[in-house]
Amino acid sequence: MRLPVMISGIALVAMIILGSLLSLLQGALDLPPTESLLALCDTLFGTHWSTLDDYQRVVVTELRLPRLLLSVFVGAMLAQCGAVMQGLFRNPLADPGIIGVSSGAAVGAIVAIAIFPASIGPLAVPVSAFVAGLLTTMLVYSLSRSKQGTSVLVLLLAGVAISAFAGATIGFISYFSNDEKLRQLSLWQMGSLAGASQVNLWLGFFTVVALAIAFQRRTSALNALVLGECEARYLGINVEGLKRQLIILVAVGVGISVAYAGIIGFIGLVVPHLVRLVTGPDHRSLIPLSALCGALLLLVADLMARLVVQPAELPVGLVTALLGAPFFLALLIQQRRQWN
Amino acid sequence: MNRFLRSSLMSALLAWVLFGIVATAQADTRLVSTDALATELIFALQADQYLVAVDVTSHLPPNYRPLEIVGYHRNLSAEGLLSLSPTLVIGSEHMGPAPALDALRQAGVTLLQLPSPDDPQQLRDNIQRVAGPLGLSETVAPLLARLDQQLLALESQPITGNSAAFLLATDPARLRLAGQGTTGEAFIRLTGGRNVADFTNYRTVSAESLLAMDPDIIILAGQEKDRALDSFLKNNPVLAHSRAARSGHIIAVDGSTLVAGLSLASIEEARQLTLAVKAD
Repeated sequence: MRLPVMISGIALVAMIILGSLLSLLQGALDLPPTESLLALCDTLFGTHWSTLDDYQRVVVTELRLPRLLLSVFVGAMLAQCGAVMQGLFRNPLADPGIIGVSSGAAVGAIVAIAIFPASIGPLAVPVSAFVAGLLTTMLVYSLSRSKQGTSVLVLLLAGVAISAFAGATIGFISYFSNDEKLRQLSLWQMGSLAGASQVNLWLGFFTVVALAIAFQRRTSALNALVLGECEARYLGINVEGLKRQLIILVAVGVGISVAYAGIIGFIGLVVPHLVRLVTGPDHRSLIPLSALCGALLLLVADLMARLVVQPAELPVGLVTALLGAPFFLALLIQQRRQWN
Repeated sequence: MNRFLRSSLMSALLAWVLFGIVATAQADTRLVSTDALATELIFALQADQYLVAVDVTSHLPPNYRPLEIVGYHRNLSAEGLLSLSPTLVIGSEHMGPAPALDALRQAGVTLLQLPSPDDPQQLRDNIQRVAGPLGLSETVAPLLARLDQQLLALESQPITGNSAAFLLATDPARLRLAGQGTTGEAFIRLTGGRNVADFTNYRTVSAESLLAMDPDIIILAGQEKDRALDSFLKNNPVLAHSRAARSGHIIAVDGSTLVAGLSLASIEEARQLTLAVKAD
């Protein structure tokens, strides 16, 4: 069931637009759709068309819109990073967390939640998560380097070991923290986009665009790397430089996603597989299509998280797996049937 | 006769007018409680008719009219709350996330965040803070009087001098002991006892160290009060030799009354506990 890249791309963009509209117009608060869209125009272009009350405007422009944008940015970043990691490690089980960035970020977050005084302010958790994620990745990377170059196997194993160590650190700190902080931490680990109205969305936008451009420039090199490291080197690719650049880019992308939205699993691991099953393994199309597909999946997951148990809402990290795993399994089974 | 008729007519009229003022002030009150303690106080103040929604930790009386559930109080959905068009949202200091609270404030909803009480005075303050914006001057005085009566009964039977260990009995195989600054300790202080634990927060301790601490009383806070003692001794047979067990002073209390700090119900639990200890 291979689909041409162009058609898949257009279909994904169309679905993202449709999903965005739904996400803007649906929610616990029942607002007239045209008025909501007019309110959006008012905010963007300074017009005065909408007749919504102030608090209803706030719902559309300061709750739904930032969440929508953040879900697209975070979904796109995680899925691209996942595709790149799988290409770099030539391992279908690699996900962005494998270089230690997620577990490091979780340690940073729990340190900020449990140890830092609350007076530092709301930025303490995201900044601490980002910095710790980056530092952990640097540690894993430097462990894997030797005179012979960077060993992907050592990188993988060091990532696993550091993740285990981070898990123990989290356990240790949570053992000594009180109930309130424990609950805060467990919610943080489930991931949520509810903080979207307070984060800097421009930073997210520029990161996702910069990552997409940077990854796109390295897609041919990633394709060559599929043949093996030596073969890629013979083809004139600076494999060491490529590894270093990709790891830093992924650490920044995942670090920012984690700082924004906590731990959101599944997207980085499965979205690239999903795209590969439908359009093939060429990184030139795999990475941009993964970005679109990741954005769509997180967008829909957040919409579900907001709608299913209203007036409450679910942590979006739970919904991504609930939604994505059955879909992925169905696709996998269907593909196997075709190969037989 | 005439004077009596006139005065009763006047007072009836006055009552009607007063009722009318209060009723119009409260007719469009839509109350959301996001905390178990706030819900308890709202019911105790007989203001539950204004409730439109509660959070998942709140206890409602059995067969109560169905209310909307707004989820977990740290993870509230701004839009979900706004969709209930509340006029007043009462919760604890821990309600959140901050963006959701900001959105509520922007929408002109009054937010009342109560501190978790760890002594009776704070509980009194909370009662008054809930009663204030709802205009519940008639029900607040009897409630405070009843609270004072309970406290008096409690203070007349203190178990001063006794050391106590407060255990969370949610998982009977693990002994989660309440340290300094916890609601468990606040509960012990309420009974007049002294906490055996010298660390902060809750920690898992071994049965052996609990034996070494040798408390006079072991308090088990779990969900099933009747079976708590049996399952505790079954899982920790060594503690049958403790002093508390030998003197019959392993006492179960309803843990749900202590989830978010001292509540009205936990004062009653404390009174029953002191009575049980005093009985022998």
